[in-house]
Amino acid sequence: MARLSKLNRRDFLLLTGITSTGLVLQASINPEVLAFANPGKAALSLNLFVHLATDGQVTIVAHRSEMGQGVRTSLPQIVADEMDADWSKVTILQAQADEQYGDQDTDGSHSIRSFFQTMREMGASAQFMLRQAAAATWSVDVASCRAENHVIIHQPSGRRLGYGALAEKAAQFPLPDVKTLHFKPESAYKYIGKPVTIVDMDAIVTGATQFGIDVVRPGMVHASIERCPVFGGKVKQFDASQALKVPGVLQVLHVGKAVEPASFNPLAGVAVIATNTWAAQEGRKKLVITWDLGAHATYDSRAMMAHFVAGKGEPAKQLRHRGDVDTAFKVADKTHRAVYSVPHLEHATMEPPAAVAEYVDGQCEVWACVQSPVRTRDVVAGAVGLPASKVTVNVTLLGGAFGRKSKPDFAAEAALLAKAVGRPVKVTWTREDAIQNGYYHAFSVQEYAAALDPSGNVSAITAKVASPSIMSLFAPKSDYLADFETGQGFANIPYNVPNIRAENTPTVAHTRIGWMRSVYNINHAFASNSFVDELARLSKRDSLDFQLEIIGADRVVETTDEGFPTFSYGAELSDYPFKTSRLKGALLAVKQSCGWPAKVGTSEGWGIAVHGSFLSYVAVATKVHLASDSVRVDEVHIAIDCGKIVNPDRVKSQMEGAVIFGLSLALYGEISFKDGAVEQSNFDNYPLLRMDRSPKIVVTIIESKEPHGGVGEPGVPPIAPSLVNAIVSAGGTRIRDLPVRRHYKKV
Amino acid sequence: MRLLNINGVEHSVEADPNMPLLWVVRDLLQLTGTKFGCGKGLCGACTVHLDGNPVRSCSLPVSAAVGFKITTIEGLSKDGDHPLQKAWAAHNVPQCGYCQSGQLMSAAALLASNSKPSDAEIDQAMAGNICRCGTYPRIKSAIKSVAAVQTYRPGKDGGAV
Repeated sequence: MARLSKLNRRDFLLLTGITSTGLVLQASINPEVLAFANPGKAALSLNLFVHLATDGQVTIVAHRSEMGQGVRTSLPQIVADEMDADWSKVTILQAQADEQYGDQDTDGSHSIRSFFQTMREMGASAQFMLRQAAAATWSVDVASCRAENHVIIHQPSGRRLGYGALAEKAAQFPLPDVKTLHFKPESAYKYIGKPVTIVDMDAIVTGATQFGIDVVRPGMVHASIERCPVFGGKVKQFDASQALKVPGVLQVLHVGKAVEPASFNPLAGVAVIATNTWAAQEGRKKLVITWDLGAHATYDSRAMMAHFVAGKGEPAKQLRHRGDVDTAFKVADKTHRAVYSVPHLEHATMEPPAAVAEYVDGQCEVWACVQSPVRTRDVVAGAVGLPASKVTVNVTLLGGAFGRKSKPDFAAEAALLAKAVGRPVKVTWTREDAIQNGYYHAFSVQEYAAALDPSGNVSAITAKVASPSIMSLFAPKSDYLADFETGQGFANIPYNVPNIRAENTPTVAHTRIGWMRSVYNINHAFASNSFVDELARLSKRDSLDFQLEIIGADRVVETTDEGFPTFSYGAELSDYPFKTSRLKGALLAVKQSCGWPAKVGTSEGWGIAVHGSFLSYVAVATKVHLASDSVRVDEVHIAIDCGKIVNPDRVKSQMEGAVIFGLSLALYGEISFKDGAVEQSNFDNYPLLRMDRSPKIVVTIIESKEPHGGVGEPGVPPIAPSLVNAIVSAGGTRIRDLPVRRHYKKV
Repeated sequence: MRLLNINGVEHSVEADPNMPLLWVVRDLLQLTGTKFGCGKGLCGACTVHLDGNPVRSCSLPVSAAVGFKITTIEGLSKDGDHPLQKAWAAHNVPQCGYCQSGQLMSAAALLASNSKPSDAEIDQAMAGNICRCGTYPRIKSAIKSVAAVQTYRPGKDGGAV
């Protein structure tokens, strides 16, 4: 089994600096490939590291953040396979923040598709150089030497040399031109496509893991921060006299500031520094703070959503228009209208945000559970007033992330305090801090309407959304959603309906809005799949058959001609066309899996939903059982078409996880603001799904030769709509405003 | 000065009697395998054993832990070879891994007192441990696989389980 390595940068450089003892392989990433994978970022030539020691140990650098999706295992699997390395001799080294490694921002479900080819090149290059070294040793043709499991074999004579023995010689050869490399055929894959166990398994089951919250530095002190309960508010004054009396408390000081747009700036607050976490938390309880709560102190999220539900929003901006919607409605035989609401949500990572920083002699070093190491470096540098070159970011394991840990405000807090206090500081957020001072999933209110012609066919669909934008974090007056937000299944609903319009009602943000696992797809899939299900029932049709029909014939869905630039998550459209055949394929796979339309008992029912996101296609069938005032989810079937895959066990686990995550938000999830502050605080009033309410989960991974699509996020969006559709099938009420527990007492 | 018996080792600790055992273990003794998730006994990430019984260490004052044999995840087995640890690996249970110390400690306590738990008993014993990544189905399979091969174990009162 691959082992963890805790080498820090100094050790690694020492190791790699001794070039006579091994092969250090760098790969240049084609800058054009980088450019389209990350639109807007500067094209850079990048290097990933494979180190081969003379004892045969292979170190592969993991440059993407591990938050449970398995990327510390899956990307190295690819390298090891093309390299013909023995997986048991592989050690993983987590990269620090460094542009050399290329894009490290682990977000948006694209690690595999962005780096699959590069990792193959890394492995294949190393293998070729090892074969060259063996051929030179034996004075034979390279072509007569083949690689197998950490050994080069001379076919004709049977002579063998291990990778360790060849390391020094191999290092003397130049890096081969990637265009000349030969890659394994898929039939020869040993690790790619196989359920390789995660590299951190041993550490996890023995408690030897190091998450951000676990880092310990010599001389370190602990900080707990009381942040303004209302976004944009600031500290007017504070009295620390009682706090300072708590044993262990060392110091109390201001940290952060009220800044709008918020970006990743630490919120305004008061930090208690103490010799241990608990003392800091206890000291904090004794603080007396007077806040200037600011302009958002009147934010009432339920009232705001009700305002939009009642249709009181300002005139909407048109995003997309096909055909002539207004005429279709004028001549309609019947119309149907429904409004769907999803509230704010919070990530609720099991490991709350936590970071350690040291600030010494104009240098700052940070250890943190961050999804975006380079952004963390830049935010920390800006916060403490250093050039980025003077900031080092070490990436730990992440105890859950879901997008929260892409926002490195907590790392900046640690750095600011380390600078102010003159000692290493660990900032640990409490659960209350995480729930009340988060970056919230945006609420949404969506109004759908359909026109039906005399034959009962849907002749037109309109959709209007009111939802605060993530862009409010970065630019003032961001009251309209950006294309990347409406492109997540709103302005591009894939229905074969002759007249479609999508509109966006301006919505002001009164808190920090952030992206959360599958982002706006949650809101959009809930509305579209619920509405289609309502239309199916109005037409007295089977829901699944109706979905297949309204999606329509096999074709590629594009919206540019309808006013909305076709959105494909930054990927090249020609590589990743949105195919209705794949959407329908997912539905048919889940139909087969659950035996739709399956026989059910009284008060039981199945619901169906399908959604394409992050270049993958997922369908879900959910079975519920209703009793008086209670909903129990018995079974969930989920089918994913994500193209080619690297680690099938990690794909399956991501689907299982998406079911649990999606059910949590659908059944329980609500963050509500009253008088500007979040009303929820911990898992008693922001509950999450537990084992005793979890369903049986059946996963289908659809075999596909299509290019790699996303896996981490696409499972989430169809869960909520399939659940509410199931409740209707079971004889329950049509829930249009989540969470389900607003409508049923026991869920 | 407090004497705490943790994983078979006596530790001398200077701590406020109200300091939760969780923070004594993590901050004063640098045993970071036991995790912090909520501070209110709601998530189970902090689960340790007192004389083999599962407790939420975030809500247990250290003074109440004196005189007990405290076991943390680091002490669950000598070489990571507790049957549950092996089953966790065989079933590829973890994703991010953060909750798994608590999950293992709760599961170990369950099987020590009930060697053949039913699905409902597993649910009840494990409902206090939240997994945000959604590893519940695999946790359950792993527990059942160990229970399936366990031999008879005496219950707490000495009777059969």
